[in-house]
Formats: sequence, structure tokens, C-alpha cells
Amino acid sequence: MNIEFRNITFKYKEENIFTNFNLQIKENDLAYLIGLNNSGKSTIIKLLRNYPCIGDILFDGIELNQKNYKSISSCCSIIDEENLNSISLDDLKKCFGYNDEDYNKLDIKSPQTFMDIIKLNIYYSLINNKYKFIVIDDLIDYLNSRDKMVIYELIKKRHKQFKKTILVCSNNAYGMIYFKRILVLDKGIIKFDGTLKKISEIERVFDELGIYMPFIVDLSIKLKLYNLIDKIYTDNVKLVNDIWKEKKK
Amino acid sequence: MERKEKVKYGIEGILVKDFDAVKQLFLNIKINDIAIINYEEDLFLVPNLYMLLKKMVFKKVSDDKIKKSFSMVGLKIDDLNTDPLFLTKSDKFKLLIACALLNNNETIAMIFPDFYLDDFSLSKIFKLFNKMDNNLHKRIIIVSNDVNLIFKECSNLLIYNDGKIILNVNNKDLFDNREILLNNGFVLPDILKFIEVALDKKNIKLVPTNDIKELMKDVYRNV
Repeated sequence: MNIEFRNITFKYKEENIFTNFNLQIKENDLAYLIGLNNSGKSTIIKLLRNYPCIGDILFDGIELNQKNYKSISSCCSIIDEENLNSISLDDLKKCFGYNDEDYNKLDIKSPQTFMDIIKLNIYYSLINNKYKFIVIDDLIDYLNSRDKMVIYELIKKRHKQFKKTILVCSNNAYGMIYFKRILVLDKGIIKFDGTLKKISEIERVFDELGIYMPFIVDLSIKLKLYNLIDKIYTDNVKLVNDIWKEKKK
Repeated sequence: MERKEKVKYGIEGILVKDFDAVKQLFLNIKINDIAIINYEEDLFLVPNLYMLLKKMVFKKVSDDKIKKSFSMVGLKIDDLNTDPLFLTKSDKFKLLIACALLNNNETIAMIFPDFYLDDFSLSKIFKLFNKMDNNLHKRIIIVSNDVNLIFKECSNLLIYNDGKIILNVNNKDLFDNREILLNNGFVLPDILKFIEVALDKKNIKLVPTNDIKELMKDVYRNV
């Protein structure tokens, strides 16, 4: 599914959140949108829910409006704090793609905690065939470090398997290493749009905004400066193997 | 949880797995004179900031003090007639910190600050707390499920699981106690994970640290 924000202008309490904002999330995109507090991330979610604004929001080229909102939104899963559903194991089993191995990794307790509900909502959207476009707003940041890793791995795996269009929004850069496309939003403006390959550009934008690099990327940048490695790594083992190429345990 | 020997900055971290552990944690641990900064939407259901401050600040404070504490936490709000419901989540959380500063409690406990504040705001708050501890000798407690945040910012760490504290260590000693952490379903902070991989795969013994620059120098020495 292709999603396009075209010339969007949106005001909240007399404050301009977006002015002529343009963004395209292409079919099969695996995108990570980083934005500090009040950058406009949650407004993007509101706009996908058909909040009134100036400009067009297009789903596969069709303009979103009150008449078609229900049919368009039926194939989109927007997961944020306002829209968490209770999901049972039976609901999951009805979905093609349900996999016990992945489900077990989620470590769901009984009764379910708030974190379990977040994990289940994300998992359900990932395995449910009817959802072509998934947006997750901030919720992964609520999970503990172990669960974050499990969920990001799962998103990456299911994206590859089912070719869904996925957009994850966060106020930090922790999860960006799992994503193909990285977007940085600041005060309603896209400050960066690209991949990890453009690391010096990302570094400049992060420095300007006060966003921390994920540890492994930060370490790679520093080691690269000292000519100990020549590329950016997202995996500890590969990085260690590159630094100490000759050394065997 | 008695006050221990003074740590460098007095910021202590409690690592928990999720929200539900927090209630249990504060039921089990009794701390006197503590400001617990816990975000609850209900708190903001008052007509204006002035009413909210009356609810949250238990002493008489001047407008100047209010403005000073607002600016210390990075709030621009100076209109006490503002409806708190119109504030963003991050501003609401900052407002709770400002209230704790106005109350001047000896101990301030922040519950899951990383849920509400981005890197920039968190770093500003931590700088403020470090400065406060040096000047005013405050004890700051951070409760979070983010092992990286706790390890980076806190000098003393308490790991809490299934109703009890399973580990109470200085952050320098966390690596040596990693088995306890891992056996209880937690993960290592990213920086320690790298140190562990270097040890496991190449038998390189790097010095455990929470400072990436120190790690960097150590890697350089070991190549």
C-alpha cells in the first residue's frame, strides 16, 4: 500500500504543526520515523485517522475522505495508546501466519499486562493478512529492552515475509538499526529521509536535535574515525569479528 | 532501602520489567519524604495550572519560584490560567518534576521518565539532577524498564523482579553479575553486550564501562 501526504497544512490551537508537508510511504516500505516530543509524529497518526486538514492524504492514489475512510482504514492497522484492543489466542489462531514459535518469544503472561497488550496488538497486525499498512506510534518505547528487541526482530521478519508497508514512530533512535528507511521529523519538517548508509548526514541531524545514536552505530562511527573498521555495523558479532579479524579465541 | 554510602551523583536506578512492577515496588519499599513523579492523566483534570499546583505543591510558593522551577525543567508555561489538559504529555511530565522541585523533597523518584521525555529533554533533566545533587545533595531514583537508560545514568542499580530486589550493585559491577540479570529475564545494556561478545568470541578482556569513549580507548589499546 502506498501512502502519500500531499501539501498538508494542519493547525492546533493556532499553532502551525504542518505547513505544506509532503511525505510518501511507499509500498513495502519498512520505515522508522524519529521525532522529539512535539515534532508532529502523533499528528501524522491523527491525519491518517482522517482529522480535518488542508491538503490530501492518498492511499494507493485514492484521496482519503469521510465516505471512503471506513473501507480504506479496514486494511490499515494504526496502533497507538488510544487504539489497543484485547486480543485472545483464539483471535491469533484465526490468522494465517500465526506461528507458535514467534508467539512464545513474546512471553505473554496471564492475566495480560499493559506491555502484553501492546505486544499482542503488534503481533496480531503483523500476522493478519487483511492489514496492508501498519503504523505503530511510540508504543514500542514502553516495552522493556528484551521485548523491544523481540518486537523489532519480529517486525523485520514479518515485513520480509508478507511485504507489508510498515511505519514505526518513536522519540528515540534505538530501533532504527532494524529499518530500511529512516526519517527524522522536527517541528513538522522532514529533516532526514534515507538509509543508514548516509550516516554522516544522520549524525549531523541528530547532533542538531540532541538525539542519541544507537550504541552499535555510535561505536562504529568512532571506530571508523580511528580507521579500525571501514563501515557502520548493526550487529555486535560482525563488528567484533571485523575489529579483531586475525584473532581467534 | 536505606541511604547508602554517597554515590558520585546520587542518581540511583531501579530496573523493573514493566509498569505493574512499580506499584508492587513502592508497596514494598517505604521511603520518607519522597516525591514520586508518576504520570497519571487524572492529575490534570483541573481547570488551570494554578489549581494543579495547589494540588501538587504542599507549601506556599511565590510566582517567581514557580517560574524558576518551570524554566529549570524546560517548560515555557508561565500562564497559570492554562488548562493542563492542553499540555502535551512531555510537558505534563516536566510539570510534575517542577512540582517536586517546588516541594523541595530530599528524594525524587521518577517513574518511567523515558516514556514521556525524548533524549533531549531527558539529558536536560539528568544534567539538572546531577547539578542538584552536587549543590543540594538530593537523592534521585529512576525507575525504568530500559536497561540502557538505567546503566548510563545511574551510579547505583537495583534490579527488581517478582516482588523482590534480586541485585543491588554499583554500575561498575553489573558486568560481573550479569548471570543474575540474564537468568531473571533481563538483557545486558548494549555496551556490556559488546564487551561480552568481545570476551566470548575473541577472548578480549575489555574493562566494563558505561562510557562509550572509555570503551573506544580500550578497544584501541586491545587491537
